[in-house]
Amino acid sequence: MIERTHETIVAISSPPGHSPVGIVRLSGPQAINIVDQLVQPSHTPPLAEASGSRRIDVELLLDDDLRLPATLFIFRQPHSYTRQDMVEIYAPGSPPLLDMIASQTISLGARHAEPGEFTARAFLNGAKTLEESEAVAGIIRAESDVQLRAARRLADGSATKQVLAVREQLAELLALIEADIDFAEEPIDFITPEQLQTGLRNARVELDRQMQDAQSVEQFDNLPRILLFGSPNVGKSSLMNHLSGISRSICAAVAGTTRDILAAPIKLGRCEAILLDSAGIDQSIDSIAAAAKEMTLSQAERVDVICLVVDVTQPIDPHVIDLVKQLDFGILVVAANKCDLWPSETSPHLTIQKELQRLGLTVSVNMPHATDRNSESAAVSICPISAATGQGMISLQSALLDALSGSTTTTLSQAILLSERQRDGLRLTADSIARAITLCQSANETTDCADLLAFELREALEHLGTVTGDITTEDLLSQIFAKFCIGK
Amino acid sequence: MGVRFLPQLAYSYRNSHNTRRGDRIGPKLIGAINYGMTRTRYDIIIIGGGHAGVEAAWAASRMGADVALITMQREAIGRMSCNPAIGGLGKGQIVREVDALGGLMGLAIDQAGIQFRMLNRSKGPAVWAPRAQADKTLYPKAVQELLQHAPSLDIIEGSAESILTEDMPSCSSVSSDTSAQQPKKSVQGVELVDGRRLIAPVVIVTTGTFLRGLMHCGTSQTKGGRVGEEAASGLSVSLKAMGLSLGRLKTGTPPRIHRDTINYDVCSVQPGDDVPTPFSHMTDAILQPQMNCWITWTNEDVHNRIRDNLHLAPMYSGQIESSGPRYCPSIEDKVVRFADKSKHQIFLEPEGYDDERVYCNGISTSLPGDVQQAFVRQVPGLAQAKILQLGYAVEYDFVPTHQTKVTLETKAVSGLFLAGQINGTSGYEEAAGQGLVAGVNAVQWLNQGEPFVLGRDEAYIGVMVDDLITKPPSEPYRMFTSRAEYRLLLRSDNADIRLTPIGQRLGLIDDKRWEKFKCRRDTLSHIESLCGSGGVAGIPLATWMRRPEASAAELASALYARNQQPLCTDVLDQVLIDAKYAGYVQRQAQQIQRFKKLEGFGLPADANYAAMPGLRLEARQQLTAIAPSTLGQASRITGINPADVTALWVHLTTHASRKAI
Repeated sequence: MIERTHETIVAISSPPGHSPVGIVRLSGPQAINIVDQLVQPSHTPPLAEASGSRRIDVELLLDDDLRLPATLFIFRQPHSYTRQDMVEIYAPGSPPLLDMIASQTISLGARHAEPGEFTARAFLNGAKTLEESEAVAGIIRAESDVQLRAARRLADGSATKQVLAVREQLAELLALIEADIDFAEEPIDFITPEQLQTGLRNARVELDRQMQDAQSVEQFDNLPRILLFGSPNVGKSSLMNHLSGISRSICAAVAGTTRDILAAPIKLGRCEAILLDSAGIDQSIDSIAAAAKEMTLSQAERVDVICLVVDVTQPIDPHVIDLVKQLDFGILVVAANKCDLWPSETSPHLTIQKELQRLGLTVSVNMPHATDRNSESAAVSICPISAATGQGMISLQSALLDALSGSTTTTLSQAILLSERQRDGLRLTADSIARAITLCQSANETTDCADLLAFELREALEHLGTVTGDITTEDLLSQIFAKFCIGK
Repeated sequence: MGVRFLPQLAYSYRNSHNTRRGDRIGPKLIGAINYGMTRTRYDIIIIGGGHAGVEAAWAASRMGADVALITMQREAIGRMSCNPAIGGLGKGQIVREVDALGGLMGLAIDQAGIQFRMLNRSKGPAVWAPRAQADKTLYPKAVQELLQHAPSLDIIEGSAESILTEDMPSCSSVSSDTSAQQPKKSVQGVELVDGRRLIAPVVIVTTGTFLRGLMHCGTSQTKGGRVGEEAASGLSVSLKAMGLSLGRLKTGTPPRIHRDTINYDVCSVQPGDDVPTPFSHMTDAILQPQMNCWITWTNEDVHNRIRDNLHLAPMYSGQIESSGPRYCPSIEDKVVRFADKSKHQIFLEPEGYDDERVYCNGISTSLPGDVQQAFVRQVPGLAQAKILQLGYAVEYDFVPTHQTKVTLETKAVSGLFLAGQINGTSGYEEAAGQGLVAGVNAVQWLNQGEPFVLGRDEAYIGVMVDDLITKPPSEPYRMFTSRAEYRLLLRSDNADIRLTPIGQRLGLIDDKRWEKFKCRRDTLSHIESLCGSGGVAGIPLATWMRRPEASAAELASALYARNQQPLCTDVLDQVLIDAKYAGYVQRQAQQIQRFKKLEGFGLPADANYAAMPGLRLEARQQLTAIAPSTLGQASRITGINPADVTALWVHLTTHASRKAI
């Protein structure tokens, strides 16, 4: 990713699954231009002409008949998190809608961000202290590891064996073409033009089918997920840092914009989960939140446990509780933060419990296992904590673990689960194969285009590598030597 | 030939103990090769007169250094130990590159070739590869004659016993724990077996299979690097004593049979190309007559005979444990690993016009002599065959390349360079490419000049050196075109365009070659400018040129009206090839742009990877062992993933900026 900082990247930055507000972020020289092309032209003067960093309410034109209210935050370099031009699009937090926005920006020239890429850019262009650099490395490592584990888990699933099968098919074709080039003096017909064409066509058909079947889901989809939810400034980020063990001094340094990642892996006993940080629920974007609710509520959730973070020194925002109720999370753990600032000798427990009940949430402290999702009143366990001092963290962790084991965790769909970046990979692979097929057809007796075919197939495998991992030249050579008796 | 410019070296030796010899006035005259032992002080000493050694000697001497080349026998210089051929896939491209940089190999094979073929003609020009059978007597002769023109080269017959070194003065600015990659010793010279001493600040070791070479033929073992030639054993001890670790590799060679004892009627003929294509840009045409090669096949009888005697094969009896190349298996290996194949191809390659020996390419073996004799006679066409030289396997020491820098200098010993099979490669061409790299870098080292490093996007030679240092080989390394990710750019047709200007800046190119190159380059750009307009059959020229049916003749006639100069086919072909690849070259250029960004990020030699957070254990171990010099190199090391590269980059950026402050 270091070598590609001149490219404009995009990512859905709000937590996976449904949330009231979704954020799509872009960073790079073309960020503003690209978003400008999505905005209804009649509404604003071109964004590129707007000076300085600002907030603009717009309508996005996603389709001929799909207009979407959105709020844009434009940050001009160097006054942004990444120190590049950045745009944050706040829109209703429905995954299909956010995917659509991201895809549109990609068709206009952006590409999906790699894990940790926003942070890496922030680091590249920003202050560089040793402490910060360690944090960056930690974040990137954590995200990559989670992806690796997710990929491995996927690899075990029967569905993704199909993607791997395509890779094997392509790698074999490439190995045969390479053998045909490099071992021209061997008396072996490595592959006939007909076999090659058939192989390519089969791969293409298979890929197309898989792309149709594949459901776009977030990268960490097959780990159980815990959502941190709450008003701004109740301490969600500090809690996230605490639970994930990733020191995110960088995030603190640029508070107010957003963080690079809003998800981090955590360990709860033997169990592994993904902790997600929701965007702060901002009163000012109520209208979007309202639009989001409509869509959010109509679809199934993919969060297993919600962890409501409240600030014991502040009254609880009824707005937040309303959303919690509407979002219909079955299992709720309340982290009552800033207990170290609680003035009285008594536990804040009861106070919080009463307040939640007043706002319409039934709280039963000893019933963390309730699973009645349809109930008007959710089951709640309350854990007084302090993210600042670390107080109460162990009991919060065990409450989360209990909640997870009580949740009806994730039935993995038989369909292939892929992140947007991986779907991109499949699409680009298919494009390369299509070009290879065209080349094959143009081949004749005198020129068989093997060199160009190999080029296209190498590119195809590189794209597929985002889903399945890379194939190296050594892999190809091993395949050839294992299969054929080479050697004059 | 015009007056050659040979830069006078103003050596500023890094080591003050070495005093510059003051008596050298300028380049010696042509033919002034000194076979005696009157001098003892040189700029560079090269140990070994094989394909790496001669290119190193030639390049360094052309750049103005005083060079001594130590060889056991001077008539063995440039000898071909194994197969009588130069070139092939990937290898042919390397020869073109060596030639484009002013080297010897292309010139020598053009003189000594007895059959020329351009491989892969039916495929795209990016993978065309020149190959030629060589006359094994004429080839070394050609090399030796070319070496006569080396400006200042002494050839010294003898066997190197040890490399003289002294401890480096300790560098106070580097703390002892991070100095693992700092050289601890520096080169002083070479001591020969007979006790003679030669003094030089740089030594290039190109010993091929001679380092503790051990030949196996059945159960009999003979010390030696080549039939009838002694091994070098003292040198291994010397290298170890300097702190280098050694590994062991194996390779093999097939039996040679008498040409008059072959029944050619049952073999199929393999002729050369009708119009042979020379390797060197300096050769206008190949005029010598071409010879045929012949093809026959093994059969089940042969295989059974081999199976019955497997217990006598050193590779199977446990006598040899080191690993041989997968791409060049012995006939024993073929029979065992591909038991279902009922026959294997054998190329019968004459070793020269007047040479009665025929090389049986495809049946490399180390079985005992009587078994070889028996199975060879079961091959169709070889029933009466008389074996003139038995096949054998040879084991030899090499220096695993994590100990070597991209300049081919060792990390542990300042001024000690390694090239060729000692670096774990196989093949004459791979050796020649490295010899050239080591020779040039030796001179650059003396002059404290910029290291000579070819990128993966510039040359197969660059791909090879980069592969060697980022993925130290565990079997003899051979070039394949599939190793070059920018293969469409690194073609054999454009080697001169890619590399001759680089060679010229280094002082490797003589006037004659430079004039010829400039003429070709200017003609190319002239034609390209003409191709901007005009057309063929109503199709714009630029579009037509990309079509498969576009030919040089048609292009010439299309340009006829506007072109005053006569156009040679060679240049027209080149223009057509460039046009055909233009779109792909553009796509590769984008990949290269990204590649270069990482390549431009240097890593300190004293980086402490063990203490660097964010790296996995495997990454730490690999980075510590190999100590890459750029982030790009790091990214290609086996076991390093993109997240490691980012973590590395983050830390080093931090350190760099802290140091800057």
